[in-house]
Amino acid sequence: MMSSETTILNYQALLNEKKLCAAECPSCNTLMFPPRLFCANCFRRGTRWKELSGRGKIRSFTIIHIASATHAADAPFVIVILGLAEGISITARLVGVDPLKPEDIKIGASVVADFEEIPGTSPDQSVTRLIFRPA
Amino acid sequence: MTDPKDRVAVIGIGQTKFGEQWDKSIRRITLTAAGACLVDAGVSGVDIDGLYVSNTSTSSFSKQEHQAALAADSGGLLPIASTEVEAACASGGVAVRHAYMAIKSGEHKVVMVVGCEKMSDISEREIAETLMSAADREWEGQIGATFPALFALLARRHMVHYGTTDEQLAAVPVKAHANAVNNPYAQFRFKIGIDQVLRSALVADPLRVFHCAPISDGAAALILCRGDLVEKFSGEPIWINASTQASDTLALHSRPHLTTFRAVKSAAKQAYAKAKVEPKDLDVIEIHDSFSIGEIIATEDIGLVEKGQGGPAIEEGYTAMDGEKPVNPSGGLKAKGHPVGATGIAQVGEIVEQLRHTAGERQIEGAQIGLALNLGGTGSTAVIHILNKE
Amino acid sequence: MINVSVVGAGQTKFGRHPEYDLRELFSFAAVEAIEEAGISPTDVEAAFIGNLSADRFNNQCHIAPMMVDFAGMKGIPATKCEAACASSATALRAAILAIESGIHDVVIAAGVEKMSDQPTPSVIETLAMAADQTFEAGPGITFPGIFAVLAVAHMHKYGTTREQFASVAVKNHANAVHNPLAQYQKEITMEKALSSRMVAWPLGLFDCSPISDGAAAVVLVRTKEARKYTDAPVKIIASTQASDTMNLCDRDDLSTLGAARRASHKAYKQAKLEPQDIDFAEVHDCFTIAEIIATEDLGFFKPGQGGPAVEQGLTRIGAEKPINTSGGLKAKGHPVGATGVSQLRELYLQLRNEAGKRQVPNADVGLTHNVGGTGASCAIHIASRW
Repeated sequence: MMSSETTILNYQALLNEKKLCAAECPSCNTLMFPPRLFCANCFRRGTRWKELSGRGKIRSFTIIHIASATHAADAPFVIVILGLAEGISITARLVGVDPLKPEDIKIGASVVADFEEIPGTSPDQSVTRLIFRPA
Repeated sequence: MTDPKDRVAVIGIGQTKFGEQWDKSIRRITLTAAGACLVDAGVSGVDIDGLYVSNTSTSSFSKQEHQAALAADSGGLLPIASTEVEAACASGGVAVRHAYMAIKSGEHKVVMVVGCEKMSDISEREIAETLMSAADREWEGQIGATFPALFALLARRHMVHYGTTDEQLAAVPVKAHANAVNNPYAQFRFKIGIDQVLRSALVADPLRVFHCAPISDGAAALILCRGDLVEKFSGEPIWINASTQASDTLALHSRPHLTTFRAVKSAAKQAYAKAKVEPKDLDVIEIHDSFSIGEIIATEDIGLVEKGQGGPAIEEGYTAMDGEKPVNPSGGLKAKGHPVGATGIAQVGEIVEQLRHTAGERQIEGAQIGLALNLGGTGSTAVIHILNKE
Repeated sequence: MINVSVVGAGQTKFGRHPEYDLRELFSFAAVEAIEEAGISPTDVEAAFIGNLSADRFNNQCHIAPMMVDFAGMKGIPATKCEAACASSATALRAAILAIESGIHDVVIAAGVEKMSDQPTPSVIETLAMAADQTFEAGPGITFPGIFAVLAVAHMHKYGTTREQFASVAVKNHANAVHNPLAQYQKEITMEKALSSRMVAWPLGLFDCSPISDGAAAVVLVRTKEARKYTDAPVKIIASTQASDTMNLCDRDDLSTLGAARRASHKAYKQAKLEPQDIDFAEVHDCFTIAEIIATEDLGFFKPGQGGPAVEQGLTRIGAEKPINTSGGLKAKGHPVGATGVSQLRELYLQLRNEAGKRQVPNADVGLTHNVGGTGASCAIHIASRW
């Protein structure tokens, strides 16, 4: 799978294997998340996967109290934008914190990636969702 | 002085009252605004040779695509060239820019721009879902982020970085409501207090219900005219001296800074250069305050105040009606209402009223130059118009 | 006269692309067009993107900034234009006006649609939103149903036959065999076309264009600058658009599309040409009857003669008036928002003698006809060899 094309579909397939990956340009080494097919720096086609450490720091966060229809059952929950150690950034849910105590969540705090199974209508339709926990 | 033939003026404005209008169809709302606009401009339908229509999601809100053709038809403007543009909440501003370019190209002479949105036909959670599709579904929507949440992320970062306070955020809707009292088209014509804002329910921490623009139905229209033809019509012309647009990544996490809108800075810089004005020359400003933090960041990014001073500025009344730089005399999106596709057009409409000196009790005395900033998504699109009385 | 030229064109294969996201499809077409123009994504000053309904098909609004960012064009004005199936022709026209206005010099016009993520009944429902929701789609009419109404009127008035409809599909499939980016690169027979499952009488499955994913893009510059980018730019010499009633019931004549007649009349005037000066055309054959009506509305054949013309082979490659050399919407595929720009790309290839085995001999002037809804919008572009 790591040799597959750096599409958004394959990103999810890698997540299902519990691998968090970004796309990397083999010519200029630019690292891109979300993954891209064309290098954002030199525009060359043929980027490749690079697995990420999953370690990062909180850039900003919010607690969603009023959610959209699809996610209404989960509220309140925490959404964070994280800066990963590799210098890229990602939006994800933060678990393992009390959503009713925003004062306990700090910008700059360290977090680590984890993977959560979201059950589908049948076992083969379950997908893995990327989540983060306090480090 | 530029040849009038190379200039573009707004010669007519019209809008419906914003708010919930279950009893009126989207056609009726659109026609009401368009009709008012024709009367204001002293233009008849046969004079119009181009139509630009803006809305965000009639397919989801009203199960209707191809809104441009529908508007041409129900407006009696057939067989006019009619195009719909979409750029989320910036659809209206982008439509104005397309009309401006169409006239500048020589292809059209008198163009109508009309924006409409009817949001209240579906449930609030469905609306949230639809609006969220203007953010990056793959990286933001799927994990449950909402639009208030994305702006909350900006707000949190701004608070930590610049010391912006809950009270400063709350001052934005308080000012908006105070201004809307004098706007007959506004959805909420009543004052609110800081305490009310701070006590309202949390939507996405730190943003509360009163930090968010409401769900609204409504339409707004403008008529733009080539400069050498304005004498033919009775509407007082207000000149468009700059029309600029810029974009940024759809997903917030792809941006290096979470306290600024790069697209706004870029569009503003280009607009000031084109119009040959500076922020200090502006007499009246309409800004996209879909969430209160949006107004604070935007006042900084268009250069009204230094970076990080947006919070103190609102708190000290710098942007109030009687302040140095009045922002959102209309009541803004928060209190005037925010039928997304109509917003950018109504903003330009407000500037035109102010520069014509016909804004009644909310008139800013002697206003000569105004700016309208319309934002799409979380600042993925920014459109700026600078208008001048001369 | 329009003073804008095409200096690069790109397109994905049309068909089903479950492996790619909307933005990925766009980037393939856009980067190809940009590379062909010999420029970098950062040289593009503005983007105009046609798309019907990413909001319904892909749950994604505000696609224009997302598309340009993904293809490496950072921070530029980017706008989505929608006019049902004519969306990308209106985007193209907006791009042309942006250059003519003097505001931009190098722009990209594109279209993208990814329809196959949704089950077919939901695609049909979304497409029906391009008709009048209150008065047409509400009662349950589908798009094939609406064009079937036109087909019946045409049959009644002119004696057009189902065999003539089938001739359109057979010809377009034959052309698509030579188009490597076409969804269906295979010939079909008259018998097969006529015996296909009925969709909305008298239109069968083979009278309908398919559900497709795909993207197309062109790079446009001012004509006087065009030779800096390529030795063989293609000049756009007319760009017009007209509208008509949303509801068929409001039209006097159901055997013609008024918007197509008006837009083409204006286009011929703009280009100072007559229908007989057009060497070949890409027309909007979302349904076979639509191609027959188009060839009449564009003045290639007299009203009522479109059916006999296709049956007699007058619209084949090598004949008097080749129509849909690309395979048309029927066989090339119809990712709705991408169709209009894809039509222009076919002109670009033909006018540069790059169309391979489907090349029209001595092609100097070509026309595109892109229809939105049931003809409530129509945009016409005419392009000529350098």
